[in-house]
Amino acid sequence: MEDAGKRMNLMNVKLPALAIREWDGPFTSELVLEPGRFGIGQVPNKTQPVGFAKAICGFCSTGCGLKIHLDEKGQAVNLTPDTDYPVNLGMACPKGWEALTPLAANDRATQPVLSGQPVDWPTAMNAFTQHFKDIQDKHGKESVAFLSTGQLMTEEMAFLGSLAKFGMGLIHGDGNTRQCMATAVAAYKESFGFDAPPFTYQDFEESDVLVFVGANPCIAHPIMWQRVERNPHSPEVIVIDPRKTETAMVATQHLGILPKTDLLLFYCLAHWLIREGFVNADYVTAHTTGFAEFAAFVQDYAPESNLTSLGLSAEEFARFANTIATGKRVSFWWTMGVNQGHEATRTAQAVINIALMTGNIGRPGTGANSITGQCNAMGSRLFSNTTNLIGGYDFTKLEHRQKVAAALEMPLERIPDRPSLAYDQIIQGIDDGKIKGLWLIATNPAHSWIDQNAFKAAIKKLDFFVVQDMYGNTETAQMAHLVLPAAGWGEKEGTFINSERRFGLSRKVSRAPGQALADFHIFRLVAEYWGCGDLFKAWSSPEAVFQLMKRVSKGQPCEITGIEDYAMLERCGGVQWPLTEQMSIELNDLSSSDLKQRRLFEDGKFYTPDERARFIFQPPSALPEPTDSAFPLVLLTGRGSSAQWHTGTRTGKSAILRKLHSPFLGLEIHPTDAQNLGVLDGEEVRVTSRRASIEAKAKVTSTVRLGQVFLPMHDRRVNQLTNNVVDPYSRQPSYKHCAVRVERL
Amino acid sequence: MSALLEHQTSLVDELLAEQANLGTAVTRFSDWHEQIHAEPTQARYYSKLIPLTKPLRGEQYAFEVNLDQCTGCKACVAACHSLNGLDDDESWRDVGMLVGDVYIPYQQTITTACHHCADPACANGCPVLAYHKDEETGIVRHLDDQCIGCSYCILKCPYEVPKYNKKRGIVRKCDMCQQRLAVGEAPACVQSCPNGAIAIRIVPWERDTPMSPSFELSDFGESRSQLLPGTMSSSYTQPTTRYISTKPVPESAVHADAERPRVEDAHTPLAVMLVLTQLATGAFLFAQGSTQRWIGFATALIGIQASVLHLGQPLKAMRCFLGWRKSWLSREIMAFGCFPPAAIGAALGFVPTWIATTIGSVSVFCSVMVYVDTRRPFWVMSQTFVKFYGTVLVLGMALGACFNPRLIQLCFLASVLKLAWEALVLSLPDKKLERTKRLLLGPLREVNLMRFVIGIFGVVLMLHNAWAGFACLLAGEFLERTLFFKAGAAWKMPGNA
Repeated sequence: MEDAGKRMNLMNVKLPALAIREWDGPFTSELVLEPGRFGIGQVPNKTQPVGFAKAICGFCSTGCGLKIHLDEKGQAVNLTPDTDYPVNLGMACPKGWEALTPLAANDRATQPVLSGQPVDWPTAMNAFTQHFKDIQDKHGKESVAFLSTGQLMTEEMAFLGSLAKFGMGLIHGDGNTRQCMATAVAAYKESFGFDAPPFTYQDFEESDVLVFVGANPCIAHPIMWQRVERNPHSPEVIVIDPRKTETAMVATQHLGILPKTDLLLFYCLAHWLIREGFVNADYVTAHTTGFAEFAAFVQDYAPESNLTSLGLSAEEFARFANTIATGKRVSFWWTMGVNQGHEATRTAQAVINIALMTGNIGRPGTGANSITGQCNAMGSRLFSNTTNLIGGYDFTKLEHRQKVAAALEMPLERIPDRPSLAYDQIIQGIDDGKIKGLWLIATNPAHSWIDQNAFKAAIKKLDFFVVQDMYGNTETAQMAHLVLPAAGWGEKEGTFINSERRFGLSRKVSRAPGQALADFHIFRLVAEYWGCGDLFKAWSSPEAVFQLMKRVSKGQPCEITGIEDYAMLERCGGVQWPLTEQMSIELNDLSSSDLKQRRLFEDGKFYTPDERARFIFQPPSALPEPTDSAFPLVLLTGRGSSAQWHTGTRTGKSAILRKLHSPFLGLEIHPTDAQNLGVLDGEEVRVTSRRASIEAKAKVTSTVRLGQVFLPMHDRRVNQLTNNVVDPYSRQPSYKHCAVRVERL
Repeated sequence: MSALLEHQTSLVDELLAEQANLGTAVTRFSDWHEQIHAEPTQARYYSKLIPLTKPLRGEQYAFEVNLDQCTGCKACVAACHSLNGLDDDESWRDVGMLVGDVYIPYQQTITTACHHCADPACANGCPVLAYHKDEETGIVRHLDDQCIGCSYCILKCPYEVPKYNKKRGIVRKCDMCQQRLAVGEAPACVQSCPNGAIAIRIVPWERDTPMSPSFELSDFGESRSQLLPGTMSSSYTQPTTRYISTKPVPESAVHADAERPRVEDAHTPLAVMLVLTQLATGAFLFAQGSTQRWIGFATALIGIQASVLHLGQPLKAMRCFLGWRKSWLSREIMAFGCFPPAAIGAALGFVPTWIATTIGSVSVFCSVMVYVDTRRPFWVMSQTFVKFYGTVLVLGMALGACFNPRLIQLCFLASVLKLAWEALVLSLPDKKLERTKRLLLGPLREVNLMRFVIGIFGVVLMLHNAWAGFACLLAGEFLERTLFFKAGAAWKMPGNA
């Protein structure tokens, strides 16, 4: 009878009405919809809004506009995607629909916790300053570092970076954006002279050929894929990916190249385009430098002699090359498959080279376009004051430091004259005992950092480790000496910059639990307790910081002096950078479509000193960890579903999102490999790399190729296996390739 | 110093107060300048996806899913949940997946909700008429306040549509957002699909005539009479959803979860009810005296009471006769309603025993039909009939043997034959039984083994001590019935990997 109790809920046992058939009643009325107001259509009457506020989704970099439904107290009760927002046209992926749910989770951090004991804010702040200052006194200013995220508001990133470096005297700080976007940054800076993704989402709709390299937008960026589906030109869609992904399924061409041969593929393509006479010589002559050297370099990359290395047939390559050669508006889109590799920067630049040599840039439906990862990776890239001096400047250049000092009214000597160590170098510094204190904000590297066990071992060596997060129980927060409870997205205000360079405004629509404070407020507190509050007097609110960012951006490619204020961002459906005051005047009608979709380089002028784009190239290097007899399979990792966000600290809180992904860790393995190992679908297997061994269930599928296996990155065990190798230029970790063996359990 | 401390502490208070303050830049209804009755802004995207007119006579609304545009984002599931105000983990739309077999790299997400069948099995099975197929729209609506929470519709539906809501003790399901359609708005899933993959179309509603093939999508040969590969023949309920695609679904495509069948609900109260009412029937069939008749009466009463525990809304159970025209469950309940009076009459000697036996047997037949009518492969007539009447014979004789040793041999024979029949299922070549066999040999292996051990032990014990043998055989029958439920693999839409 064990399920009798389960079935009957005595609280809800109802007497029958005096009717043979009860057409209506308490249960029926629970689901009554009421005519929606505010143009949102019918909504459940129990969450009928009396007002709404607009927000930008805080998960990925698509930057979807959401209309948050509010009750009479101004508290969010529901949401619908914003029909009028130019990014998402009234749509959202499941994460967006469920954006409010993680805020209500019952395991939110509600109080500072010091050494396992709940404390009040003054105690926490005193401990914070005391410990970090002690470390700095003993081991030098550089011995304390910070690691942040692509999830904070731009104003918060600006505050954190400035506070840490100008206020607290830290030198080293980096963001988890190192894990996703560093490669695009390095590639763009070298090729275009500035970290400037040139596209606007409208380009998805205007291309006649779209090439996705190491990208699976169907589940990773569904709302960008929506724009591809809206493309009226019946475009050729080419997917370059070792796996037959969801996107590869709907592509017109799938190039299932062998892992990490994309650099070679693009050199072969360049060779073929030159040989067959498909170079846009006019464009190359007018707007680029280095083509002759590049042409000489790719002489050695005849496709015919590299087909085996690529894992392609001659026909596949010929069709691919011809499609690109004959396309009128060809756009190239890459994401983590390119960015997370041991020669990632050169690979991204190899894509850029193809766009340049075929003149596919600066026109509608073209471009070498990096799709960003996190909701504010782009904000982090320009304003976090980590790798770049705030505003996209260079720490090493005196004139840049002077400009920033003047704009922010900061004493010049407080601005460090050298950039920060990169993420992996900070971890190394901790491991080597040079960095003794770490402040980590809104990220979960004990789950997500490559070679997780080595990371955890390093973290344990810290004298003082502070984690600032919405949840005090993340894998990383559990290791902290001090946990600071943060308000999350929706509980604070500020801007995000999305993949197409669009500043979008997100409002505060929900009360934070307990003593949790917005990261912005926490930074104000730290400034005060550290004793540098006077330096940040003007940094009183996110919008005040936004005005400072405007000043610092003046004269930069990312100038935003033409954006008046937050109200203008809301009015215009977000604004893409750049928008100088002059442009703002010229555009005149700010609600016009001219403002809604703008792309870069339409005049062929790049941000290099000679205004020409560069061809950058280098021979492919050997795989850091090739397969061998002990570890015969290549492990690929990547996104598992549209319903999961990275380490799942937020998406894991939604019962609906949990329904939308596999309930177990599944290892995708090719049927022949499975057969050779005697493994059946659904059986337990052990996956072992040189670093660790984990258990998973076999998912036998031919969407992975022979000799390769795939694991979704959202499971906390997966990064125990990955190999700590970084690209030498971007220092982004290579998550997408390591050698493993699989055994039946 | 103390001034600084004070300043710092007051900053903490100030920031906490600021954090608690909501309501910046909020648009309130009074500021909203658009006309109140203007159509929703989202209509600009969905207006092409819903019909301009209402269905005519002989027509109904139906979902149409374009698989070319279903690319795995699953927004429809989340939107159904949010826009309908459902419980935390509740959504009336699901997304599963079809995958290629060994050598075809293929995957296709399948979004699925209620198919608003022309001949809805849920409605046909409901004992209290809690389903209503709307004459005008064809929408199969569930009347939440009529529902008694018996869950029979869940067993009847081959597409896993009705879902039991534990909190309320009733079933809830997709109503195609009929409230939205009624005012010209699109259902939540239709509005929310970024690719416009889900549409509402008007289709002919022709009950009892073969539907046009559900999918133009494939060279799927003879299976055209199914919604998708691996789903139940559409002739059962005539689902109206159409899955269309320009690309063929490989003939060998399977559900992503095909290799991992789910252990079904044990339905313990039902197992108790079935075994005890069958024992009661057997008790009268092989009645050896008044004690046995009293035992028959008692077990019938306990068994029927047990079934009430199965209901989420037991107080509404008196409505159960309403569905008698179509619902075997309704008929079963009515037959059971007659059984205890007849049984007590027989026990007291007012009523001839054969009358109680006959009513019991009719009840058991209704029970058989309740399960046969679900069309689950493990519950076909040959399985269910033999098992249920087998229990009547085995337990009836076993009980009789306690009073009359001459029945021991007959009981021995019946028990052995029944066990053999049960074991036989594992060797049947029927492909439809694949998932049941997987369950019996996989996650249910131990229970299955125990059932045979106890069964054989009971038969042997019967030769030495009839009462002990009877108790053992009774336990064996419970296990058999638990396995009947747990291994009664349901027809499904493609599940998730």
